[in-house]
Amino acid sequence: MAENTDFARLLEAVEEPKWLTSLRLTAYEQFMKMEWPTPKEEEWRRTDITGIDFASFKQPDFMRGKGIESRLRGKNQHEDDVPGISVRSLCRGSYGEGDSLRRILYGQMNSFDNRLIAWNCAMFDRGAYVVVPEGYQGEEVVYLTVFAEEGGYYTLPRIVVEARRNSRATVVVSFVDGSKSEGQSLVNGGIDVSVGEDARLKLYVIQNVSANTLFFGNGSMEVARGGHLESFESHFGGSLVKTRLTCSLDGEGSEAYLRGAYFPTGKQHMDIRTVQKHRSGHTNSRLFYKGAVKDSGRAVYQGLIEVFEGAEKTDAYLTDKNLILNDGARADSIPTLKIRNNDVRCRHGSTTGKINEDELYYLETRGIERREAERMLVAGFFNEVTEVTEVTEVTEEAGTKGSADVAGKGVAAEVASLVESRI
Amino acid sequence: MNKNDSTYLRIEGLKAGIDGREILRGVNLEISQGEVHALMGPNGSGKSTLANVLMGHPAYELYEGRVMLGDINVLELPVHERARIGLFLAFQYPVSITGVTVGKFLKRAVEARAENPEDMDVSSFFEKLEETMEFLEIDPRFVGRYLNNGFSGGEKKRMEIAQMLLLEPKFAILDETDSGLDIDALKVVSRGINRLRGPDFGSLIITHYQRILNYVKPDRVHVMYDGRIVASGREELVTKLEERGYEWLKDERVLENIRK
Repeated sequence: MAENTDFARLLEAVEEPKWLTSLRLTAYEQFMKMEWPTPKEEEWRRTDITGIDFASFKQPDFMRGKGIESRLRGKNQHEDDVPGISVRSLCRGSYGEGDSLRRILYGQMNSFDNRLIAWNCAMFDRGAYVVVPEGYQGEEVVYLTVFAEEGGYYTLPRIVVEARRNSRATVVVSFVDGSKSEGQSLVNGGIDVSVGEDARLKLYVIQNVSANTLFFGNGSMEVARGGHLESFESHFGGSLVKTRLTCSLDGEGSEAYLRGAYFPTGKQHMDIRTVQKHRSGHTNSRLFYKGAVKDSGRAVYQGLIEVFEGAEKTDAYLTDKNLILNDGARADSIPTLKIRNNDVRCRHGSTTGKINEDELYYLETRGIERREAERMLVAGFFNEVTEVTEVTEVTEEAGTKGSADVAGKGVAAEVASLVESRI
Repeated sequence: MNKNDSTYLRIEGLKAGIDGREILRGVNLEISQGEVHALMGPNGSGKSTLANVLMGHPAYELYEGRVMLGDINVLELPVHERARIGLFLAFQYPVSITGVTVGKFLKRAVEARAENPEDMDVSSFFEKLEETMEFLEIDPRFVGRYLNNGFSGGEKKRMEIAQMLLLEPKFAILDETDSGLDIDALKVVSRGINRLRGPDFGSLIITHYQRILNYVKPDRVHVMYDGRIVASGREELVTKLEERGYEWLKDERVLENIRK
């Protein structure tokens, strides 16, 4: 990895605002001082990366890689005086000192607690910045596709989504690579989300990089007063996957509905962490994650609900369910609570089990072969977190309140086919 | 098997149990297509075991005997094959299946039962489904709900009957479908069974009570006790049982043993 002076020279060649370069350099200093995480840290206890030779991954042509493809779909029914959603490059834009991007990145790029996050902050090499303007109520959906470099390179993508006050939008992010060539690749991505006052944002993430790639991810989502966030993340690709998604309910009355799915097969190892931070009063979060493990696949889920002192009347819920499809596959689920206010309602639960024999038998008695019955049950297991319908809305346990939309249905269909291809 | 050939379900000397413990101790019973038989008997006599052994529940062990559907020994078939040749079990406690909607499940089940699934017409299936649900007074929105998920006891039983009507089995075993039903639900369920009654349909209604038999008149009534059929007769047998209770069977059983 480049020395400080080399890195500064590298940045000079890039047309990005001075403030961003200076943020990068600060992050870079930290990066150079830090060590890679080790299993001594609780968050990394079950995922040992000490054997990974990070220096062996090649640096892609800085800022000139394949980048991130963006498409906008759907009708833009906003009023004439409200501009539409914009998607710009994070690295080549001319953003001023007063730009809200600076505020968002400044917060994120000064508070990293591990070297992977610092690495991305300092050296992210492709990026997209989505702005949903204030008051936007159109039907446009933003689709972002992040391409990972193939054949022994690392890729450091960063996405910023800003839903300004009183806006409404849906963003779908896919991580893909075509890495069938020799050599392992690495992706270390970051997503920063800002949901403004009374804004509503839906964010879907589908991670399906090749089964040979190392995938690290850090998502940070902040919800302001009265804001509403629905997020869904799913992990199918990657030989080793280690992610953290932090949702911070910063403003009074803000709420978040977080759903997730992961399905390691073969020798895949996936370690998924979520943090629900309740910083203000009357905040509401519902988290519902599901994972299946097959072959010698290994899943680790670590979920934390953290309630801060001033966050009275917080209502938080976390549940994680795992399905073990054969002996030799393993899933660990570790939900925890950290509560510093007495006037709150927090519940968590997790289950790990096999396919229910009675359910299999029932389907068989209806003429469905055992193999197909298994497939139906595994697909059904995941449907509960992908299909957000009126039906699941009424069950508090499911915690998947929300409304299905065209984008959501598309994601559900894509995830369903990814699930079915692995059963 | 030709669909027009009327056939029979014949249980011959069936001995079966669970964990090495014999529960069915030699059951003999024959039902012809076109007939409705009732199977009564006290708790623990082996009625539900019989239903599950016929269908192939993996927990039960088979010790002796065979079950012929025409010239096929169903006990040699895997569970799904039994369903495909026309055997149906309405469960006493239907399971709920999260993530699988009623509509998707029923479509798949009907396809599995069809001789040529590729010929199945999807729109006529949904028409029939809609009509069946209306007939059984099931809210049409249930099509989009997860199977039996959050359904009341009565709704689950109606769903079992709906499946039976859609799958049109040759023989249906109804395992205490009447238990836990209020009188209105019982009438609806009975209406469903009576709708299939005809030369192509035979059934075995397992029940504790006379109640359902007031709505679905059985052609034959059998009484099971301690793993055997100890008495068979016409409808009058039901009245006799209601009057004397199952205690009376003990003597009858003695009688039968003497007959042997």
